[in-house]
Amino acid sequence: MACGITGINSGTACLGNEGGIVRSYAAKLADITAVTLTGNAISNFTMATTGLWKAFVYDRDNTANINQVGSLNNNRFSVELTTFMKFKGLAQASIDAANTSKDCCDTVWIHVLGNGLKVVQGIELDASVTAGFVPSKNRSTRIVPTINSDTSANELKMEYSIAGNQDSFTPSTTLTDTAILAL
Amino acid sequence: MEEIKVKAKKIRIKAAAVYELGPTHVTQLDGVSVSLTSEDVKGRKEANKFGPGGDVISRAATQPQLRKLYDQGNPLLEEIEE
Repeated sequence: MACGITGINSGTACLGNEGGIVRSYAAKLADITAVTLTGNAISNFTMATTGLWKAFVYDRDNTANINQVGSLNNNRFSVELTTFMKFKGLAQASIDAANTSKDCCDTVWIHVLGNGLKVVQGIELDASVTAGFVPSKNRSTRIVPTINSDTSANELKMEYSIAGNQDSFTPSTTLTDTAILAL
Repeated sequence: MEEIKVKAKKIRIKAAAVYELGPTHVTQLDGVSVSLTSEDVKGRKEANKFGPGGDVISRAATQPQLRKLYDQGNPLLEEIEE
């Protein structure tokens, strides 16, 4: 994007500030064929077929979050994106899920934030290509599962870290949960 | 008297979308899954917290549906004169 400085007044612009993420949806990047934009927000996805977005409902224990950290390397800007989610307990189905998800080379996630805003991790908007988007430019967005028995005083769990590196912060989407599930 | 012919316009998927991105394209319109090509597309949804799973057929979008998606800015659609 072109340079622009926008004034912000946190004193009067009382935006919802509830933290954390409350649920997510994920698809393989290769299954998304286009995004429709309204301004800079994604208002629709086009997919290769239907049923390709999978729902993730994780533990609601104040641990799930997405963090987007901007940094400069000399004069080169990039954003490191990391999402964390935790699923209590373990079964063979969890192990199978971990083993298959780690092999996905490029994933796209819709995270519902605590204040209701939905952000899209794993793509960057690009009007110059037919699809209207490109993958995370600097490092693919992948799922890094961890299985941890912890000790007998604590909890057996599986954790997903979703990590990638981009040139821009996550766009938001105006799609409702109903619309996402209809895709 | 000279006859004036008005060419009707219709919306269709861009050829480049099919060549570059694949033969089937499905999106949602008002919460209903539709196919952007002239073919119905079969898919399968897995059960989750929000609803049951099962086979889903995305019907080929009608011209009014394609028009609405085009007006919304779907980048895979184009308007042509018939």
